[in-house]
Amino acid sequence: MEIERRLREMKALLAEKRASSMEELWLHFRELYHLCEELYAQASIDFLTGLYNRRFFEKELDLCVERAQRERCVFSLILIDLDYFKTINDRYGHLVGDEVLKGVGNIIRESIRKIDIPARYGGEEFAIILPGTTFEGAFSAAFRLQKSLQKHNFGDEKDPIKITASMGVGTYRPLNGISAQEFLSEIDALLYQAKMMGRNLIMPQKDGFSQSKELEEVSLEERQALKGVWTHDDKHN
Amino acid sequence: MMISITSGKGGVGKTSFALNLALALSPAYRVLLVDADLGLANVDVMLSLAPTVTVRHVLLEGRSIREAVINSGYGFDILPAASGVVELAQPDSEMKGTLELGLRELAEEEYDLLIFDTGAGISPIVLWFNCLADFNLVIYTPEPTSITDAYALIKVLSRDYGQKNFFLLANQASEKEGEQYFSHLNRVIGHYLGLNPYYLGAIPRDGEVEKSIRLQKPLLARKRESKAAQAILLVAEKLKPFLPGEEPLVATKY
Repeated sequence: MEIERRLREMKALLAEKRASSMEELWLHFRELYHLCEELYAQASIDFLTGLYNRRFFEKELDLCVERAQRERCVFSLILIDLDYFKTINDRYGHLVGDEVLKGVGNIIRESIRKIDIPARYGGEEFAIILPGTTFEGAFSAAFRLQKSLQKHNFGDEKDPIKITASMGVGTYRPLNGISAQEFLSEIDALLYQAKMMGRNLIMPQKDGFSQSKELEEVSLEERQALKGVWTHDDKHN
Repeated sequence: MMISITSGKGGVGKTSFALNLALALSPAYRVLLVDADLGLANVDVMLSLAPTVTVRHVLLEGRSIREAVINSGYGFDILPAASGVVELAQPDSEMKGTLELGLRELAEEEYDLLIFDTGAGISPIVLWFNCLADFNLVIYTPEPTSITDAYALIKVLSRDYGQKNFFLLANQASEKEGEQYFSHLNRVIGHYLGLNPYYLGAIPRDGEVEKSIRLQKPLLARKRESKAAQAILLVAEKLKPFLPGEEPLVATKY
């Protein structure tokens, strides 16, 4: 409502061609730009990359947790932070930095499925929700993304700009019963560890691999143990 | 309160037991037997009933769940499933929501106990019913396939879905066989899954059980003095401390 009103005012102003100076015109343009930004935010899209924005991501994460608990299903989350992004901004300026972010957005979009939910979570932080995906699936998606990022040249031939990312990957299991916020903190802590351990790393959730494997089937060892149930004789009792 | 009767493997006697358990507990308790194999009805067939409104009308045509409930003629009520309705084999989340709401309402307002007679296997809807229940009663027969499936089901339910309260029941087994199997199975479950299921006993092989199924009349209504019927009555007694109205007990304590 507020935005609509301000847009109408702006339209009226521009129609009257009342801007008395370049400066005033400039102010109008800035106002228009901010209005566009706000509109995008409300439409849940990140203005720069075209991915979902943080607000939409957080809402969606809440929904995923609720759905997982209700339908007893899992989903996975990848958090991504670009390594040494500040140096790119410092060295090439913010416009180039923005281009890099846009490029990363495109690479993320290309390396995921249609059902996944990619978002720009913060300045140089991205997140992907992978519905109905077990840990292995999420880890291989993160791995694909890592490779694509490493291969890509964000600059030109004369002055190549390379970028890497640190990631945290984990799966939400309804058994744990944790909230969306707790799950997000858990994966964020993994991302932090990946940074601490030298960057350009994917940090998997503890027990991620072993849990998803064991959950799927009864292991050979268990089968052997079960065998005793029907091959026992009386000396056992 | 809600209990699921489940097994992993099919053909181990779930429906027959569920029916007779419902009979054994009523009318002392107000019992609703839910045919949880939603798309392939069994319970009404076992009782030779022909319900006109089933869970199909509730989930696909918006009828109220109370309309579908019928009297079994043996002191307990039944929520009948549909016969051969593919859409109900894997209901979507909206249907599950409707069903959960309806079942919880019935459990709170009308019945002391809801018994879910689940389908075989570990399909999502089987897991869903087990998760909805407060207790999972797992039936097995003394065969390798049945025991492995029972174990696999308990494993999935406990590790993936946080279910903790399991009852074990041996079917088509002598008292001694049942105890031997349980003591060994219990060790494996304790060692690998860290659980302590509660043993409800064994129901012996008894020709009267099959005869009852053919005659479409519950064993307890036909031959209460038969071996199997007596064993089922004993199981019902063992369950009573867990039912509302008695001192509350938690299965994991055993």
